[in-house]
Amino acid sequence: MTTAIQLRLERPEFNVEVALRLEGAVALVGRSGSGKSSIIRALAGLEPAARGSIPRLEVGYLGQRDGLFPHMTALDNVAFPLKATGVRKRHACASARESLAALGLSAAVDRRPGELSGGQRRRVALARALAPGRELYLLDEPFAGLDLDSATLAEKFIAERISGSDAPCLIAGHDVPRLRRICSSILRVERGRIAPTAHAINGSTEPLRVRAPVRALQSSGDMPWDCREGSR
Amino acid sequence: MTTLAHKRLAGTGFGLAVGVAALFVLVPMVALVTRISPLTAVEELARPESIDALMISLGAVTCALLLIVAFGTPVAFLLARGQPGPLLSSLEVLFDLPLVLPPAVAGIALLAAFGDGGPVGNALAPFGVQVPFTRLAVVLALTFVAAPLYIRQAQSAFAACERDVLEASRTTGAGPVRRFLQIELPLAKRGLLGGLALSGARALGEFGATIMFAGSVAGVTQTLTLAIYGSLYTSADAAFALAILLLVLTVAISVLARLYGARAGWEAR
Repeated sequence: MTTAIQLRLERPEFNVEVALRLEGAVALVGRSGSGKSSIIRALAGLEPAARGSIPRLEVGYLGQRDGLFPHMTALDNVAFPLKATGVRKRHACASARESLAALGLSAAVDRRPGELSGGQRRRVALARALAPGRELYLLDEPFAGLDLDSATLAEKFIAERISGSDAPCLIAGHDVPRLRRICSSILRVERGRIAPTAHAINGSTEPLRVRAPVRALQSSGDMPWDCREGSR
Repeated sequence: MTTLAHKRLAGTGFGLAVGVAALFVLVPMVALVTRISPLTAVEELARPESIDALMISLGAVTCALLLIVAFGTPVAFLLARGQPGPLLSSLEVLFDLPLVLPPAVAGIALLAAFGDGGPVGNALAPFGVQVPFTRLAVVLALTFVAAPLYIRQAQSAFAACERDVLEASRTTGAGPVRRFLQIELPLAKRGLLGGLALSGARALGEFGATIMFAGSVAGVTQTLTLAIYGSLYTSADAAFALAILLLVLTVAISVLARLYGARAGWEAR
């Protein structure tokens, strides 16, 4: 499934302007504050000020902060999006249990977020975001705060979920080796825009996206609002 | 003077202030409870007038709390989540108003609205409905005066819900009703119950607005507080007995609210 996105979001320092076609798994890398989170949040419908053509899809979203429901067990947290979209309770719980097991959290299913470590909470939130059946997955730094083993589990889990679904997935992060294994292309975000090439990522001058199914449209010319920002 | 002496002096001053404050609250309570013998109290409370007053109070407070929850919860939710601006601020001031309004003013304002010649009174007159000096008037007076306490608490309980949690809930595909019932309401539960207890205690103790708007007709609109006042100069023992009852009820409400709040809280499992 391909999803075309155009978005513009005004921010105090610089505006975020992105046009891209999402297909498969796409990684967003770039410095902190470059606009990765803004892009992801806008696609999740959490930036009401965002303009452009942003499809309203059923998303699975992992924010920079976990946002787990503190009054629910890990299992109920992960099952919640499934139940909310009409999956029968029994199936939702079975699926949630499976996800948590895949992330090494079998012993934590009945605990509440307050009783979990930071890394465990992160993985519960990841399991909740990657609920099966979504139309677009948005993961903001899924490996942040995870130890090596947990990060590897998380990487495998993300890869499995993405390959088992035809929904596109956008992952922001810094762990380039892991992102390269999961994603079919890596885009670099600089001051709110997709940088023309990805050479800074793989250390060579060859742009990564050339062999990627994802095409990042160049900002210039494609976007009607470019005249205002283009001179920067 | 050395700092140490300073500190000691300050400590003594603080201790003294707290001691005086504690006594100021405690002594009247103890004096009240020990004023009449328990036997006399029971005898006085067993009289039909006392039981009537108790039933009227409990019934009216229950109805008022139902109204407060039904209308106050959406109000509090709106105040907590609405777009900040002049409209929201005005609403906040409006719903806070009964809290600072003298109860007698609240009562006479209700009378002006629901009584003969008032806008609501006129509208209801063709149907033969008369509100002032009825039990409905008691309920309305209690609701008017006690609602702000619930709304305030409920508002801050809803506002205390973390942004990340709300955002996560909005991206789960859950509709607003499910989000409210399964996430925002459980998370605010403690604050809501606390506000309800405060509101209930305030309603139970309501005097000024009730006597203005509903009068003090024994067996019809005479609540516990009105009965205390009514019998103070005719049968002081009855007044003390009713006051003790009211004290016990109020203490029970606050203790229950605390116990339940502490136990039901998800953070204290």
